[in-house]
Amino acid sequence: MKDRPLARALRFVRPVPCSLVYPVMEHLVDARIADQIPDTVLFLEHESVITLGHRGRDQHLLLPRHELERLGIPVVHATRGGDVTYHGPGQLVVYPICKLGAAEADARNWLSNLEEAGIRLCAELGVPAWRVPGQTGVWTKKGKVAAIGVRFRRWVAHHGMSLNVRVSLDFTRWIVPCGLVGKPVTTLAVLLGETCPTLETIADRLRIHLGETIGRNVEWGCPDPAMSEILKPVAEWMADPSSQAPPLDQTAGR
Amino acid sequence: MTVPKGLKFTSHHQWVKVKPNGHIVVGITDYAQSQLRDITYIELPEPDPVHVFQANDEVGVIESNKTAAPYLAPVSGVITAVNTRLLDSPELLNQDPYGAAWIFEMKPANRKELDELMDQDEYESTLPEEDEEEEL
Repeated sequence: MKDRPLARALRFVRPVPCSLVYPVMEHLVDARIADQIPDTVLFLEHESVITLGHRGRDQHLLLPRHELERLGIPVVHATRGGDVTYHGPGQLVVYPICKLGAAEADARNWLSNLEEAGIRLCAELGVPAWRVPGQTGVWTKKGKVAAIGVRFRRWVAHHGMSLNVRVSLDFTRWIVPCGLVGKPVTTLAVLLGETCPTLETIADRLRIHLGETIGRNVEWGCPDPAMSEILKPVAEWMADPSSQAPPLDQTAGR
Repeated sequence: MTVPKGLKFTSHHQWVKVKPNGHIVVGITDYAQSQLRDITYIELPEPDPVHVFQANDEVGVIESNKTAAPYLAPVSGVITAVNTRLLDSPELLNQDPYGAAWIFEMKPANRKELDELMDQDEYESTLPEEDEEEEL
C-alpha cells in the first residue's frame, strides 16, 4: 500500500457560529485549490443553528423563521448539497477539505467514504450502524446518528458530516432533519448511556477511521502561517466573542 | 462506460467535444457523476451571445441528494445552447454523461485554449486508482 498523503487535522475547542466558519471554510477551499495548504480536516461543534442546503429550500422548517429567531436559533444558508439540518453543542461536526484525486481512496465515492468512517466509529463504540441506500448518512436501530452534506468546488470536497454525540434532540421539534419525514434521529449518548465517551475522544477516534476510509494520514497539527492567516477570524472570535457579531440569516459562503 | 473517441478533457472532470463548425459541446465525465451519485437537479445558464465566460468561470451547479458541485466553462467563450432535457431528467447525467446528458454548447473565444485540454489517455492517467487493500 502506498503512503497516504497527509491531511492536517484541527479542532476548535468551543462551539463556533456557522456564519463565522463558513467564510473561513471557503478561504480554506480557495487555498487548497491553489495548493497553498494541504488537505485539512476540521473537527468542531457549532452554536445552535439551522442550516439550509444550497438551494435554500425551507419547506421542512416546522416553525416560521421569526419563531426560530425568537428562540435564538439562526437560520443560515449553506452551500452544501442536502436539505435542512441542525447543528448544536454536543454534535461533532467534521469538515474534511480534500482535493479529490490526491489519494487512491478517491476512486471510491466520497460520500460512501464518509459514511464508512461513521459506521466504523460506531462499531468501535459497540453500536451497530449501517448505510441505507437512497438515504445518505449513518443509521442505527434507534435512527440516524450522522448526517452528511458536501460541496465540491473545483473538486475540492468540503462541508462534510455531523455526528450526534450528546446533542439535545429538541431540534426535532423545529425541523424535519434532512427532509426525511417520519425518520427518527438519535445520538450516541442515547445509544450508549453513561458509557458514551467525550466528544474529544470521539473526534480522535473518528480521525483514525476517516484516515482509513478517505485514504489520508489525518494527523493533529498546528496550522502553518498560510492556514493561521485564514483561521484568524475564528481565533479572534474565540479570544473575544464580542469582537465579531456574526449576523443572523446571513447567506454565508458562495 | 464507453467513452466516445476524440473527446478532450479538463482537470475538473468535464469533457469537451469540438464540432465541425468550431463550437464545443461540454459535459461531465463518468468519474464526476460517480462522485455525485444520484443527481437530482442541474442549474443551467441562459444562452447569451453577449456574456463572455472566462476559462474556469462557474457556469451552473449540479446537485444530488447530498452534494452540490459547480461546473465550469472549460475555455473562454459564449454559451450558445443548453440541454434543457436535463431539467426534467437530471438522472441522465448519471446514466449517459457522454451522450444524452451533454450540458451546454459554447462558441470558444480563442481556439488556442482548446489545445491545452487533455486527451483521453492523459485524463484517465489523472484518475485515482483504487487501493485494492481497502475494499469497503
